[in-house]
Amino acid sequence: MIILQQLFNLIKLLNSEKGEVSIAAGFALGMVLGFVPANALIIGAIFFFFCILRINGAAMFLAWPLFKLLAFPLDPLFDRLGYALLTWPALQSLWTKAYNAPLLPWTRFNNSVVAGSLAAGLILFLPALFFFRWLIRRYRESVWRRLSESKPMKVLKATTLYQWYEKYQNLKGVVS
Amino acid sequence: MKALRWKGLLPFVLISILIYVVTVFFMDVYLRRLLVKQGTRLNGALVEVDRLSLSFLQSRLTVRGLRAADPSELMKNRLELDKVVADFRFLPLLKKKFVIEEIAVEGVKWGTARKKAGAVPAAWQKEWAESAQHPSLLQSELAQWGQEVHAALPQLDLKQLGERFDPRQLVKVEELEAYRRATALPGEVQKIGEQWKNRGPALLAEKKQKIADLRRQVEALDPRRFKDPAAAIQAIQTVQNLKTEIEAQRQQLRDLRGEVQGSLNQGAALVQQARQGLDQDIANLKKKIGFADFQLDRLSETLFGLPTVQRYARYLEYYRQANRYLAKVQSGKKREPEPRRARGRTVRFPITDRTPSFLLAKLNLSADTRNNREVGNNYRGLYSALATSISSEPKWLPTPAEVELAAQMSGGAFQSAKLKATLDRRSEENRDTFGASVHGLRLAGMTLGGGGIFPIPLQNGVSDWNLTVALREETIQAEFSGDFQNLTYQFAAYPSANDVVKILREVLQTIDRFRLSISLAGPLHHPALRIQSTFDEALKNGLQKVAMQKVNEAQTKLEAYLRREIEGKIAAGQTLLAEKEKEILSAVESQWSQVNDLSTFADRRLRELKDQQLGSLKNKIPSDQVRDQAKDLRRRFGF
Repeated sequence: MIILQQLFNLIKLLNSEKGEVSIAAGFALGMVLGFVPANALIIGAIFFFFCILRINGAAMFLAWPLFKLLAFPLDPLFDRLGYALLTWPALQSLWTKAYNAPLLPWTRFNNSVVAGSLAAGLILFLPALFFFRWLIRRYRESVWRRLSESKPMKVLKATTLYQWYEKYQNLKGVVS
Repeated sequence: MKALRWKGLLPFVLISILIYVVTVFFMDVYLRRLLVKQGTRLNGALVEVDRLSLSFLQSRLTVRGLRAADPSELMKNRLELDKVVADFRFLPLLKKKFVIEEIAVEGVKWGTARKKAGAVPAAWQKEWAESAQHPSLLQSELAQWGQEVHAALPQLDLKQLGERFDPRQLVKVEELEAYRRATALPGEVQKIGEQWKNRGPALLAEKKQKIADLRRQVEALDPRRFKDPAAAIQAIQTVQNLKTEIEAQRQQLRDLRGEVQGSLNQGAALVQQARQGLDQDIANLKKKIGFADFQLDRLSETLFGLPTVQRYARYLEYYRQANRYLAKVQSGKKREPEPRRARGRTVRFPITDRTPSFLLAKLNLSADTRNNREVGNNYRGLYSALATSISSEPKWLPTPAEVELAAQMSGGAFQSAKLKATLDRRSEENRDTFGASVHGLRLAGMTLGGGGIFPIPLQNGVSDWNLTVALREETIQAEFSGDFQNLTYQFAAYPSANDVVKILREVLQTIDRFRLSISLAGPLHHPALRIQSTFDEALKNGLQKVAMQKVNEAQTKLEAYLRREIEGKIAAGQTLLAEKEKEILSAVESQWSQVNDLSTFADRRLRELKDQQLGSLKNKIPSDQVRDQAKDLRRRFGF
């Protein structure tokens, strides 16, 4: 039920004129979550950011499994990237400190796949954010505008049921 | 639009608290189930835990009422622990390091009775059977080792001989051929009697009647009745015919006597066979008591019995396995769990925090056993084990790992004993040392005092001895040498019920003075025992002498037992045979004398008739005519 509600909210937000950064951040964070192998500590940390940042949850939970599927074929790449990072001399002191710090060893960051996928996720986070924001804008400018001006939509909006729905939504907005 | 939403911290904190609470409440249940299931799998029989509690605040794990059933006796517990408390450090856990301050184990018991059988639940068996197709290395090794252990065959224990030897454990007398023969003997003799009874008395009666009839006929031929020479000659003829008939009767009786004697001889032969069979069985069974392969190398098996040797071999194996896996941890070959999705590669970095990944600072174990049924009702044993600084990275520790085992006993073989091992693996070469001290050891009637540790120079005033043990990887090198002289045996002061000690005491009694060296060397799973001594021949002779003495005692006991059980039956058969012989032969002999008497009587009567006839001839006719008639009579009747 919550997931469905989140999905409806996402569709509603997508079709509104605001919240494009929030949605894009949700997709980008979902991507990071999807890339990184399941690990309670990393997921906990991402969840923390999800809680304190204005990030659309529905977008994140939608992107997470999709990027998880994409991560399987990308694992060899993550492995190479992670191993390169972990063995990069310049970063040795950082890794050594992390290796001896509390909690961090539990993230298994010294595994090449974990390190590579996390690094890839973090590196791609900002580009993904901008890409998704651009994608949302494109959607709103072309797809949604055309759809809302289409005859079936106009017919739908003219129905009593839809007007009742709009009233309900307005009232709900005033109450909340 | 603001990027941050501080209100979002609230659900994060709430969810974190919720996760913590759920973990705290369900972790105990989860860990308890994990311990029970995995413990059962390792043990091979049910492991039960009454209660398990994990407290992160106190950094303490407590397990109460742990019972591990014995797979070979499901109504008994192999091990029972009243309470196990493990205090760990919480902060190193955040760094993925397991530092256990102390594990205290209280109330260790073994061999306790169970209320319910400790069989493994069928569902688990099925689940494990599926995964058993790919057994772990440890499982494979243990299985292989188990096969090796059970392949050996037992010899007769020396301690089972001598006073405690019970022939009934060696042989069931009812199954012996000699016993069967002896038991059947009276029946066989009875059968001979029955055969005689069926035919003999009737036959003898018939003979008796016939002999009486013949006697009457002979008696009727009185010479005085025959005055007429022709009638007299006729009478002589008749007596001669009767004589032939008497001889025939006599022959028949002779045959009957021979036949009877044959049957009786057959009975005597059965008696003889039973006796020979008994002697043969005794000789064969005596051969079973002995030491076909009496060798010093297998002395332990001969003296203590195979089960005891196997038990200690198993302990050695436990040590070997523990050492093997401990070494893996030390050498840093431990494999970390891989991410589920892809294995990847694990990169290790220098450790700046010199806290070992695993450290057991202190292990404390105590056990109090009373009235052990194997030892006796007055037995009490207090055992304790203390281990310190057991670590995966011993080189970071200022002190080496130490293990100390102590035992105090009353009613046992010694008063107190302590074994101490220092496992110093802080450098490339292992420097493990082992030592022991014993107080009040009752060995061969002597009480030995305890001494130092590493290596152990023990002095008790009467002997100096030295023991060193070194373990290198999977090999053992243990040497014992002792100069035993001026031994004063205080046998009367220390009477021991322990069979092994009694035997050793008897062996040592045969030797006045000797130097003994024992070495145990080689791979831990198969170490070779060598015993050398300046007086080793004497020791060997003493052992053999005592062993043979025990064997002789046992053989004598066995022979006495068998003779008592079987010879009585043979003697009963023999007595019965003698009775039958007397009865049958007396009847036959009686008729035999009757017929002999009759024969003599017939001879006499014949002579009388002849004499009478000759006399009458002399009186009635001239001498020439008498001479002629006499010649004729001589020619015709042979007189």
